[in-house]
Amino acid sequence: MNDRRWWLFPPIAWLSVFLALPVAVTASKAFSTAGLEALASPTTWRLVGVSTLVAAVTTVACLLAGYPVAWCISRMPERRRRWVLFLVVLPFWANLLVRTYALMTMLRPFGVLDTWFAAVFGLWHGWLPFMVLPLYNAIEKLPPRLAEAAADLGATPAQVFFKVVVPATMPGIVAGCVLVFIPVLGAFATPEMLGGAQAFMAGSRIQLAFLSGRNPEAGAAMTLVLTAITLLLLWGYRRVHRSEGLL
Amino acid sequence: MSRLATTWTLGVLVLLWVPIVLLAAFSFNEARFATTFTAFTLDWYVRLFEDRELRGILVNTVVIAGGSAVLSTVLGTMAAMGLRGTFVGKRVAAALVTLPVMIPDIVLAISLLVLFRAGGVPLSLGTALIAHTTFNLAYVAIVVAARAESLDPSLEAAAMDLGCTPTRAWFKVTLPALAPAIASGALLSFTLSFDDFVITYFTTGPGDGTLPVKIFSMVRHGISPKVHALATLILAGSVVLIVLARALAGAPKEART
Amino acid sequence: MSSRSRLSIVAKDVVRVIDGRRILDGVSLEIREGEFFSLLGPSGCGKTTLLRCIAGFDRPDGGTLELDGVDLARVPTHRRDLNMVFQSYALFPHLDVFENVAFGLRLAGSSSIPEKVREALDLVSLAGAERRKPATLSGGEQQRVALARAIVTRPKALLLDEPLGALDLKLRKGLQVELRRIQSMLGMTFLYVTHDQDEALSMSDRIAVMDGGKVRQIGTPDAVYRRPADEFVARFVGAVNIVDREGRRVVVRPESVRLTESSDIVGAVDSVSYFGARSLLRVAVGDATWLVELPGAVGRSVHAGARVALAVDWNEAWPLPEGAS
Repeated sequence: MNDRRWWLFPPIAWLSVFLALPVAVTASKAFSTAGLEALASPTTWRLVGVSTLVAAVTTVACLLAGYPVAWCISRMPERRRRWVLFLVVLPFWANLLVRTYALMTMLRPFGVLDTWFAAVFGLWHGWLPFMVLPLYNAIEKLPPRLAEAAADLGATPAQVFFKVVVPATMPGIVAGCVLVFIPVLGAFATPEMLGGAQAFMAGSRIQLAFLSGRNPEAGAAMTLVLTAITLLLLWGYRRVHRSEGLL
Repeated sequence: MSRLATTWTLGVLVLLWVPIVLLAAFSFNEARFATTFTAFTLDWYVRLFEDRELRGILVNTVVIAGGSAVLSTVLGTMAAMGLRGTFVGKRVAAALVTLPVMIPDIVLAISLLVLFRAGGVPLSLGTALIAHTTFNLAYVAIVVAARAESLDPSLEAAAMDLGCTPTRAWFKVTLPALAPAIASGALLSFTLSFDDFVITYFTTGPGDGTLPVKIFSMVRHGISPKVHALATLILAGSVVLIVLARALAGAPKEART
Repeated sequence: MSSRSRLSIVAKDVVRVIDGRRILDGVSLEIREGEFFSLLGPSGCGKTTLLRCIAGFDRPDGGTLELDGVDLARVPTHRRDLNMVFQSYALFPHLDVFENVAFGLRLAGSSSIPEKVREALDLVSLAGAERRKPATLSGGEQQRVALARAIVTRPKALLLDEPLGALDLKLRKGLQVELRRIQSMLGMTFLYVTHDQDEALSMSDRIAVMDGGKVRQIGTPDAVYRRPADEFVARFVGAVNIVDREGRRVVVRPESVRLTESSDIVGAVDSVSYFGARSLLRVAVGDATWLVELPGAVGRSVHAGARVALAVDWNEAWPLPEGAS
């Protein structure tokens, strides 16, 4: 088995050239004069702050909406559970752009299009399945009779939930939050289509910097900031969540 | 308590599905700017198929999705095989392999764009193909590695014991055992490619757009039943692909039709 | 001896119907304070359902349950001064051993928690494992933690739902002895559910044998084994010969039968199972098969096919009550 280690060479070479190298080149661009100027500018950091806030709000909204759903699914009889899980997961595979477009047509009559509300709603809608799946997996893995054991030892229903169920499913909660927060932080198509000019996030800034041809260094700087936040989160996540598999 | 959770779940499911169902329904609506359903028509689909440019875009989409599926399946399977067991540097290698799944799409897209520009490589279908292969590789590796983990490590040893060379043992024993996961990984990467917008948007050349990119630009000119029809078709296509992938992966524990 | 007569758990005519099936069909029990009481029966006999009703996880459809003279009908699970030990352990995976054991104490706002936890862990021989997580413990260790968690709050009674069912035979034997030791040290009422008659016989002060949602017999292990109330109890609790004698159905345990020179019971040895200390013979006598238990060495000298004569110690035989099924 161990003599198959060299099989790693082609994929690692590919990823070095088309992942590590481009990220490094982008980072070096960010450290140019124009890039450093952007990194020092309060506008950049205000945008990072706004994007972080939007990502945080979306993540919390997904968690609050998703936990009861995951809980409910895990309590269903086997056959129905498969179906409902399928219904939750299917939109996750359906094209995000198409779903965002669908939301556009749905929200337009209500006159809330081109607002922050529409943008966050769209992001919530788009990434909710990313939250429900890890939550469901964590709740499913709870040892049987856990809630009963807690009640038996004197915990009220609320205490059962907050002292046992939530802490015991914490790995799923953390995984779900990371899986929602990171992509939302860099989102740009969804907020642009639903939030219009109002919902201007880091992703839109990057897109503008590169595609208008003006100041790509500032875009690289913003990309670097997003990458740094992502790597920091992933590092923290790995420390909390020691897993056996690749993910 | 549990009834509350059930009602809540039902509400969330409705919110998830209403826009999709509405979209599909209005793609069969005769009226152009209606918010009510007037009459059933297939007209928008007919117009869609008559659109020559769109046919070219469909070809682009399939070429990128198919090409990157093949490349990423080979590379991803190799990565999954190479990562088996423990060795020095495994954490770094595993982190590199899974990174494309974890970083925001826009970071990968922009980084590649910067690289291509710095190297003077003009954007084209080829550059998009490279970008798609990079992120699909990670998904294939994860799917195949998950399956390889449940594989009995003494399988290959048994085959070699019976007289196979190590390479023959892999092709005769391991590959067939992993085939469903590999096929599922290939379909998954086809689907992800097919659906991708952000990465394609930044790494493809002008005129080499894919269907999602086309929708994005069509939306800028306003909502129309023709876009509804195109979106519905893309949706149906992804659903078929994903159901197929799940059936192949033989994941009986999770959702299956 | 006066405390022995105080009642701990009392069930009167408890009925539980699930999907039209009477899982509990009028069960009445009186468990005394400080008693090790077992509910013994095959799976599906209703023993676990009764336990869950007492714990408050399930509600009886009829009858009453009392703990120390208090009707439990309106007492929610978390207010019942009873703790349960589950077959599946049900340890909190996010908490270490110490915190698992301390869980009930913390909820009760108890004082001197570290001392109490240490004492409980000492009692189950797990001192030193305080900071380990449940996932790193063996099955036997996990069940010890579950036991410590349940006894540390000194509940009025402990409910044990096949707590040793998931463990292998050797571990089970050791823990049986330990459970009994802990129970008599604490003087706590134990209500123990099991389908293993050896376990029930060796550990209990009294046993209730259940079948089909009904209690078939309540008695000491000796009474249940040697003076079964009916054929079901006789057959469920150990190996048995049931023979007709003077118009009565009579229970003869295999150890009350021995080989002899000549008698009116003669047959051919069908098989010999050797267990070391003892041997079990199956002897075909006419249409019937007799089970005979012999000292191991004696059994080894007998071979299948041999013709043997059987002598029965009729003083040890027990006639089944007339009309019992």
